[in-house]
Amino acid sequence: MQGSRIYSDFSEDIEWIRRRIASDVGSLPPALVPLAEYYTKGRLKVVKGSWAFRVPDKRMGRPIPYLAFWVAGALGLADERLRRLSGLSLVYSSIATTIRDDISDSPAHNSGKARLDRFWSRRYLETLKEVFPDQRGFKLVTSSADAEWRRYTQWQSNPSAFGHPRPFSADFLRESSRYYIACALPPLSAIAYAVGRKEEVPRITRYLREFSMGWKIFDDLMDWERDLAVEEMNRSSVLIYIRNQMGHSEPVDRIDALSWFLSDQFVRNAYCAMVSFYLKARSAAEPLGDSYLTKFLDEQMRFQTDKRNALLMSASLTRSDFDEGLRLVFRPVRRRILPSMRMSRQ
Amino acid sequence: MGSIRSTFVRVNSDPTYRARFLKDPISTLEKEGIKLTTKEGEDLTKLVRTLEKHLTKLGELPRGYDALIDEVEGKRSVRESGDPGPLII
Repeated sequence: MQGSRIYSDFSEDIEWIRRRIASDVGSLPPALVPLAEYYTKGRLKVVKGSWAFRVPDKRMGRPIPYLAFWVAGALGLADERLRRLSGLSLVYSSIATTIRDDISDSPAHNSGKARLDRFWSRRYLETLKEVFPDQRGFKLVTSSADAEWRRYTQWQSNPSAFGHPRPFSADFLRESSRYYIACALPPLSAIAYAVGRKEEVPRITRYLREFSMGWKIFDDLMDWERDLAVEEMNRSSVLIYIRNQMGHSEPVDRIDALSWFLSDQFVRNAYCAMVSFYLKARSAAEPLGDSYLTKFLDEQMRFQTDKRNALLMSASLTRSDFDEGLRLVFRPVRRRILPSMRMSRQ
Repeated sequence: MGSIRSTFVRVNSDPTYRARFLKDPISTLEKEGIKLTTKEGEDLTKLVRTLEKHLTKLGELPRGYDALIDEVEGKRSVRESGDPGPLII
């Protein structure tokens, strides 16, 4: 099920992380456990849950926590314990970031989420310290991550961002993806510090920056329907693009969005922008050699290009069916009918 | 005044017009001076409902490649329980 070796090579590390997270959840006060399980099983699927869910594509990227393992490999970190701890710190950071983002999305006070945020954040900092104990030397990195988070929250409250004319540009996506840098930069940088290669932190930052912009488009393509229901369409690059193309300032609705999935121009623009960011991220990682960091991006570029082509093909078939259906309505005798309409008439 | 032919072209090539047409095909055509018979109106409504089902699947496709291939090949997408490994995105 795990597919590529870039994931399956670390299956034992993953099990180790899962046991740690399950143990953390078990250590919480009983009243907090359901919410903690929601984040670790339902929302982020770190720990195996009992829910049935759609099997994700084997080729779909799963960068967290694997990014930590790939960076460790690329930088020559041989210590298994440190590698696992860096992956664990990335998971802690992801859980805390997700909860913090939810809190900022729903300003109403939620003491359970606030307590969980403090719990996971404490675990995160403790684990980061185990990877690289000299936190004074590491201060620059954590300050940089904090600044990224502040800029992200400021951007979320800036009304002009919603009216951005080019939502697939780096200018827009750099802001909408800053949370990713805030989440992942300290754990990955800690690895560079731990192996005495802190000069690689700018390269890691650039990799993360470019990758996260492409990833944000992917995320927005996955979540477009959910984002429709959120205030300001959750500042989704996909929905802002569609709204701009429609030439009005109103939020788009479901039919508007579905109609644009039939547009070759929309599909090409979205997927080409995504892949171009992945290419830049790959360039950033290339000097580290033939690592899983570049292999991951090669896989994702192939995957997304295949998806784009299949989506274009599917849209073309749908347009063709609709065209023939219209001809049937107005000139029924001379044209074939849609298979689904044929069935409904039988 | 529009024509049936220009409607075909715009529905195919103009996503904004297509969205308006999908939401209310009969009124969209009437505004362009195209009057439909009752039979045409009923068939058009049925066609748009059918198309919306196609479109819904199309809109789901960015979530998964397997689903995409299923769609192209006309198969049903599969729901299973299982362990895909961590999925933290």
